[in-house]
Amino acid sequence: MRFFSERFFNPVSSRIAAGVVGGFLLANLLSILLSYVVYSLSPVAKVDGVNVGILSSFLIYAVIIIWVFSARSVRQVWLGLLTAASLSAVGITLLMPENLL
Amino acid sequence: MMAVGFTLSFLGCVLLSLSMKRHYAQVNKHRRLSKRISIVFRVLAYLCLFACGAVCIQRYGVGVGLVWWWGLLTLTALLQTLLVAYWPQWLRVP
Amino acid sequence: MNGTFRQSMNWLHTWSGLLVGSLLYFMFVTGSLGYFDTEIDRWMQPEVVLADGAEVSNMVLLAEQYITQQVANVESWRVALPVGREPLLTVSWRDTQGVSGETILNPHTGLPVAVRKTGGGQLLYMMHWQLHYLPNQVARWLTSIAAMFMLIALITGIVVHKKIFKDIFTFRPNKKQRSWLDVHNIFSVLPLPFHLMITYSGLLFLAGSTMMPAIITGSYGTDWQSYFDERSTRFAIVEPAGKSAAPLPLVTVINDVEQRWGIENVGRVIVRNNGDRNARVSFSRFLSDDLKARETLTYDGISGELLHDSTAKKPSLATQTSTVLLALHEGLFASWPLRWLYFLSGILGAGMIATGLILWAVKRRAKAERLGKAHRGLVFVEGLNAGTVIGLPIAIAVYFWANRLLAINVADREEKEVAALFIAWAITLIYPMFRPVKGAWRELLWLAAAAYGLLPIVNALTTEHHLANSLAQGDWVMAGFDLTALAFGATALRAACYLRARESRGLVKSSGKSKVETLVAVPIKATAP
Repeated sequence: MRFFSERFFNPVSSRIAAGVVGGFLLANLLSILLSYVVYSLSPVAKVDGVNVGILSSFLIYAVIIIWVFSARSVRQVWLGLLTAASLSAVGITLLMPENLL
Repeated sequence: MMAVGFTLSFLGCVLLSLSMKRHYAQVNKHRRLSKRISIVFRVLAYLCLFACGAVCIQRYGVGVGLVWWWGLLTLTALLQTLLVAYWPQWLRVP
Repeated sequence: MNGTFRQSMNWLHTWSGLLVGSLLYFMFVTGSLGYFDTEIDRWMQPEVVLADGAEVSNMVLLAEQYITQQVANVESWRVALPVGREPLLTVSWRDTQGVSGETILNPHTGLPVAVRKTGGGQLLYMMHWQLHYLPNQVARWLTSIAAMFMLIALITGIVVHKKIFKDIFTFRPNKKQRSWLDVHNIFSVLPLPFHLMITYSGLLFLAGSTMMPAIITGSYGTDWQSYFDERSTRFAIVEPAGKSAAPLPLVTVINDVEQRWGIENVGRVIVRNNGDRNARVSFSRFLSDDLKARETLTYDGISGELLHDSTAKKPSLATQTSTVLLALHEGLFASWPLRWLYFLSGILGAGMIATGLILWAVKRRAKAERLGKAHRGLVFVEGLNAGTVIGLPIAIAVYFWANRLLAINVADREEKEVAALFIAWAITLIYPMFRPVKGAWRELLWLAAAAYGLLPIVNALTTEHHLANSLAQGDWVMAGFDLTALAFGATALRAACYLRARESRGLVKSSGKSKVETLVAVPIKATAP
């Protein structure tokens, strides 16, 4: 069991999982939040806010991946991702358009 | 029209590379690059390169003009790289 | 991660490049060819009758005549006109049973032309994101992932490159690793604006499979239709009313289009809900030397009234940004000199990836020679490199050979041509496994030289549109293709001779003397991967 966990849950694969999967999820959350911010707090139309989110999503994802692989420790990476995800989730809930759910 | 752009861009690349110690030494084997000449070349180089940009934008508008500009920069920089690596003697000025 | 910021970025750069390098090389090569897709189409369908001054309005009417006379129960049909680079007058339709069809017409007489069926340059270009033999969605995911890796590789590459401005013109030939690194740098840095633009816009093109679902759902829930409706006014696409009505002859609408736009630039005419009360006719044009989107005029198909002019309202900033990015990627606006610059940048990009892969292998090989043992992964990558970097171009040449050599009326002609491409590629991928690596590179280069150099001869033997004729007639599309093939062949030949010269001067070992060479021979000590 110990060998298994050492082989597969080493720091590198942990960062890969964090960057690729965690990063994808976080990038989506942040992009959704960005689209809300753009059309809720400015006269921009909803469809354009969504497009701003889509346009920015790849850059956001890239930045997250770079951060994941340059952060000092794996613990920092996961804590950072979870914190950012939680904060975005809060922001999303607050700014979500009414008739969505 | 684009011949002008090409020439400006190529000239700019030549001057820019000659303003660097490394490439000046490749071309002029026994001369040292003085600080003054380096600055003069570099200023002239940027003037040429930006003039090329101006020509492209003036001819095609901002969007397409920028594409022309960066396309020409790529091509001429590539040519200059080959020139200074394989035929540096052609750039020598007595 | 592993030490400093630069070191971790180096690690990320290496692995993101290595894992998808071959796929990215494929995408860059087919994408670069895509800038000449209609020209390649023409070379691959030499029977086509060119428009040569035929009037657009006349061609639209000929197409309308063909549809009304030849196709029963038409539900929707469209005409693609030989305007700009497009050489063909093509009519395609769908009838009420859902059966679709397509014919190429003679632009002067409106009669069908017997043109050999081929995927043409269009298919090569579409493989650029759709790949082949894979479900569409799977291919789009794979290419999106590759594009994301590419973006990471670009950003980390910029971070890692310490003297990016000082090194801009630096190329030191004949210095092994140093030379490969110099070439990799030049191919990356010189077209850097292109690489960044092409990668980011490529991600945007494929966003429908990746980022868009969640972000659209975040604001529209399950009502995606509203998003698409708000984004692009789709006046032409309406539900049929279910009541029949006599369609208006197009000649009236053509007159209106002529008054508003002039008819010369119209590239496409689409008729929807034919014979129904909600029939719609749309005329589209594409302006060259302009980064704006395709413009469309939509008319009521029964009354001829103009319903919508896509140029009337200025699009929002976000929409303009998307449009510009996508237009930059496709380069459809570009005149032929600019198109060659696009092609050059794309080929340099392919070279960037190839030299990156080669550099990795050369570095590891140097270490392996010192230690006397080769990692199985290294031998695999070395073989893969040769088979991909030279093998893919060979396979594409085989595609062109197949186009000329297959009988014109053979069944499934398109699929057979593509199969030839992939079979050839498979062979060139397997071949290096049975040869010493340096020898494999040289031999594949010889093969590439023959495949491209002899292509104009195959053309001359099988058609009348060979180089002598096309130069005499000033047909620069045909001549350009043959000349470019000769140029590629000559380059491959030069490279093969260069490798042989280096070998015979003893600088390079190509025989099996080194015990760590071939994949099939067992290495002395293979370390576990």
